[in-house]
This record gives sequence, structure tokens and C-alpha cells, in this order.
Amino acid sequence: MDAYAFVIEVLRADDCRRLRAYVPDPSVRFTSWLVVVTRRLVLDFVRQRYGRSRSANLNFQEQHLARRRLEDLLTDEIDPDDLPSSGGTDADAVLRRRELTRALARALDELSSTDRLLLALRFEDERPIREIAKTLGLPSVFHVYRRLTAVLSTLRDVLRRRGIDAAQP
Amino acid sequence: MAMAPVGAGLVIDRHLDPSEIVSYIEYGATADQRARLESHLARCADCRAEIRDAERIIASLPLNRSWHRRGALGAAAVAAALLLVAVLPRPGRERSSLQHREAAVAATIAPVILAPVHLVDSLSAFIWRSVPNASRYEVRVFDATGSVVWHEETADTLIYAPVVAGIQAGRPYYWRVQANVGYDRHVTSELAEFTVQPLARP
Repeated sequence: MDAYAFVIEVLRADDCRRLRAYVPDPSVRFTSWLVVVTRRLVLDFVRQRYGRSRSANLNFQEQHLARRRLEDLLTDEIDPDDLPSSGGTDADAVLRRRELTRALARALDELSSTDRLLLALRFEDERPIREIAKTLGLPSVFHVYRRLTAVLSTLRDVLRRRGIDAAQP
Repeated sequence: MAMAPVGAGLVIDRHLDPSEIVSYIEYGATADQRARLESHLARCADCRAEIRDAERIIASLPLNRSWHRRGALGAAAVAAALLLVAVLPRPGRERSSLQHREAAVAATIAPVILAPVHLVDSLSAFIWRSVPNASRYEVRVFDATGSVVWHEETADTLIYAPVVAGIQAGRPYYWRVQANVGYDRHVTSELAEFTVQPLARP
């Protein structure tokens, strides 16, 4: 009840200044806009009362783990020996991992915004496929599967090309 | 226009405002605007979380028109109530208020296997239909002798097949998925057979 009162109080403040910030537009329904605004106010209330969650570092760790999962998935079919080698030392594995990470970052930048978002939703947020279909506006879960398969295949090809091309004399 | 226009080539380096969030969720943005919003969303976990929460709440709002007639504060009350249930932490719940017996599941649909089935060109993922009330799925792959060659759990209805599973082309394998639908309750799919087609020799 406190949070409800907080939300109402903030919305009514300054002659409903926050509500008046809504600009009527056919593409932005007022009810949906109000949901987003209310969510932010409720989060403000929760943070004021219970403190901000220490999730920033956790988010970074989760993103790092997600990136590692994607790298592992993509390189399952790539022979590590095909990646450029800096010489027969035990540090090869670390160097190859760094090279893979850099190559993956470059390959991801070449994808469309939709495909990059698809990978983020799937590997960083681990959203269910049906929710990803809804968010991206894809007709069915099968469209998501197919697009994911295509994107991963593209990334593998790019990584393989860069790794193998660099090793050729 | 409610959403601030984003010109060609501009990167959104701030969090999205409510109008942009709604415009994206309800497909009101132009193709260019949508591409720029997605470019930001691909990098911003906070905005993606906002999209996720807003989608779920909007989908759960009552469709009754009387809610709209009650005005802005009425709609805010509904949204706030739904958000309170989802967001507020619950520091402690009395044990006496816990239900120790969940509702009986009279009948449960078994998972339906979608792919791979029979002869396939390649093996990338195991896919099946979701089961109502299922919290986890366990996939088991068997070879022709019935030995388990690989098993994995997921909350999704798709799981990628790693190379380490040791599945070889030209050999038949069998797999099934078991859905966890409650405490010590499972429902299992039919066993499906698949074979990865060997690559044609040049």
C-alpha cells in the first residue's frame, strides 16, 4: 500500500506534471506508457526503502559468462589449431582465447541490430524463445530458432575465415 | 511525435524513455527507429529488463474497457498493483500461510519432440514443445545400445548439442525429454530416433 500511495503522490505532484509529459501519439498507448512510468516509480520506491541492489557487478559478470558461453558454442566446431598461434607455449590457450574474444567482438559488430539483440536476449538474458519471438516481432518460435541457427552459422563462418586466413602463408 | 526522432547514424547512448519503450514493444516505431532502438537494447541490459517487465505487465492488464474510462489514476493503480506483486521483496512469510500441497495435476501433456527426428543433415539443437507448469526439462540421448551418451537440463524448450556429446554421423541415436511439472512429478516424451547424415564424399 505504501508503494501505491507513493506512486499516486508522485503522479499527482506539480499538477500532474509527470502525467502531462505524455504526448498523445497513435504509436504510444497511454496505458502502456503509464505502465512503464509506474514501474520506474515503484523501483524508485523499492530502492529508497530497501536500497539499490548490488547488481551492477553481477550484471557485468553475467555478461562476461554469457559471452564465454557464446564463444564456447561457436568454437565447438572450430579446431583451435586453426586459430593463429603465437608459438608452442602454454600461454597459447590464453592468447587464443583473447584472439577469439576480439574476433567475436568484431564479428558481432557486423551483425544487424536485430541479430545482436537476438543474441543478447538468448545468451545474456536467457529469455524463453517464445518471449524472444514476441519482443522481436517474429511470427513463431520456429522463426526464432531458424534465425538463431543462421546467426550462429554466420558467426562461425566469420571466425573460421579469420582464423584460417590469418594462418595461411 | 511522442518519440524523439533519432536521425540516421545516431547511436542512442542513454537509457530509453518511456515513449521509446512503448513504441518498441507495440511495434509503433518506424524500421529505422526500431533498428536504432535495437542497437541500444543489444548493449543495455537495464533497458532490456524494462522491455521484458513492461511486456509482461501489459500482457496481463485487463482488457475491460471500464478500466480506461476510470481514467489515468485508475490505470496507474492497476499497474502499480501488478508491479507491487512482481517487484516488492517479501522478507518473510509465515510458515502457517504456506500451502504444503499444491493443486493436483489431473492430466499432463507429455512433451512433443520437434527436432531432430529421423534423418537430419546436421545436429545443432534439440527442440520440443513446452509443457504447461513445467519448470525444467531434462534431455537424454542414447546410442543404439541404450547407453546414455549425453544429458542436459534446461528451463527452455531448446538446447544446443555440443560436439563433446560424441554423436557421430551415420549412426542411429535416440532421445527423449522429461518435463518436471511439480515436486517429484515428471512427464516424459516418446522416444525419438535420429541419424545425422554422413557428409557426401567429393
